[in-house]
Amino acid sequence: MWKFFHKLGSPPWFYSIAGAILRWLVPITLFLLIVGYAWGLLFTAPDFRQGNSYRIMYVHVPAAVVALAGYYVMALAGAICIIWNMKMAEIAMRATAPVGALLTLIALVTGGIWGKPTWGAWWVWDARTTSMLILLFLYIGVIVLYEAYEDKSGGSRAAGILALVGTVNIPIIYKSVDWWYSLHQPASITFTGGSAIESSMLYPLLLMITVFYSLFTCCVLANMRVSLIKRESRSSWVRTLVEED
Amino acid sequence: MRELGMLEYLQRIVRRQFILAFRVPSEFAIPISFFIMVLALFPLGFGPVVKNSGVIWIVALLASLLSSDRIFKQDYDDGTLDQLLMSPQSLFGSSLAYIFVHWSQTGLPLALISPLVAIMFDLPGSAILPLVVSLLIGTVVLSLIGAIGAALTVGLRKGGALVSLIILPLYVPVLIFGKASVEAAIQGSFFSPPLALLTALACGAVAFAPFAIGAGLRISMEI
Amino acid sequence: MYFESLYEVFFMGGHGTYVWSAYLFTSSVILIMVWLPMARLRRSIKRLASKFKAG
Repeated sequence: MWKFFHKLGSPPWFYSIAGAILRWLVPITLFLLIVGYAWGLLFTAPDFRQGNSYRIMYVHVPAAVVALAGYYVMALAGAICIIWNMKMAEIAMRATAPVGALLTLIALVTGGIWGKPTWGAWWVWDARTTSMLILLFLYIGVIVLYEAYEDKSGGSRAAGILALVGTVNIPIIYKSVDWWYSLHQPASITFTGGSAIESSMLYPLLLMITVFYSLFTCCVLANMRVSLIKRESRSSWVRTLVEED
Repeated sequence: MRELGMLEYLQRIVRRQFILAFRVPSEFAIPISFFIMVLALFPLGFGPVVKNSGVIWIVALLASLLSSDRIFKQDYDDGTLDQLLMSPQSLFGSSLAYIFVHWSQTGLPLALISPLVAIMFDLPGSAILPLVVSLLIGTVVLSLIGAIGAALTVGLRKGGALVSLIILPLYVPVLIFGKASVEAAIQGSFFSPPLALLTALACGAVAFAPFAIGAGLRISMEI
Repeated sequence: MYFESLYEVFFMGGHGTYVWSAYLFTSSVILIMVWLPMARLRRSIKRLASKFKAG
């Protein structure tokens, strides 16, 4: 077990393993993404209330789910990097932040597009939309903070602390925004939530959530490889790797 | 030389910070002036009748934010922070002392001046008490969160704008509960539930934020 | 297949623009997310290779 962790901390080992994983994970993920697209777009019946616009759910919900989970992954990496000062955790944290921010952006934009035919407005200040917007700014804060530090390791640990503070705050923010929203009783807006989702709609959704998790993994690993090779550009393993190439 | 007890040590930090603050008394006027000036912009922007207590809370939040990046700046520049980190006393206590001083320079005056603002904005008399109390409690949280941002960026040259971007999202719950308690009083219902939640936030922040502040200061001092 | 004609696939009962633009946006962001690190990796390797040759 410990041996595995030590290996995990070794840049050349991680670089080659991540490369091997990406070599098959990226094509599989992209293939499954197309399968999920086709399933969600073409092979499911429309929602009886929302018609065809509900098909946006198959990209919107997975992006939102993984964006939120990604913040916790980032905060976990940040915690490891603060406590054990592990280089690989630093790199993982930096690799996670932009991916999570982009997924949050996808969730916000597709949510807006979905909102227009469903609620009649591109943007509605409801609890979830507002929380996701705040999540985007939490991500941006982490990115901006580590970019502002010239010292990479200090910046990563500072951003790690911020990510941890954010993690404590996300449930509070979510609950408070939820509560705020329930005070401003919405008049004309109806939600699809509450009604149980039918299994013919659930399976493609589960597939898409899996695809987005795997996409997230791919992007994080690929980002980590880039920063590994930049950071270790003076070491011998990079030299042999580049010369073999 | 005898060793200082924890309380005595904190007392000295607080006294030192206050002495430094009182050397430039106009510093105390900045948050209050900012508070009232920005509030005056709202009627100018929205028309003479602003029927919303939320603006008071938003501006209080901005006033606290405005001064938060300077909590540690001066002591960072003159090396006091180095001494603080090297002292055997816990950083937990000393960061709380710093925040107490910051709060009494921003949150406390804002809360004390807020009845006046409430009258200017034509809030009912029943809303004044919850406004003052929620500001008193809420600004503690604002100062604590602001200090986290300040600790993380104190070593950076362009920290100021960064602090606001980092900590504004974390201010959201304070704004919601603070505004809700005022709103509840205006509408004649109980204002204690949101106030209780705000107090819970304050307790949690007092308990946990100093750890983040201490860790942030240690990182900032390494560079 | 749920839809009966290709026209229906694009029109989607009036919601076609919304659905397709959402999917298009998602796909383009995903492609950028996947492609960008790969391009950056290739570029860094190339730059390092020329640096090692020179030095």
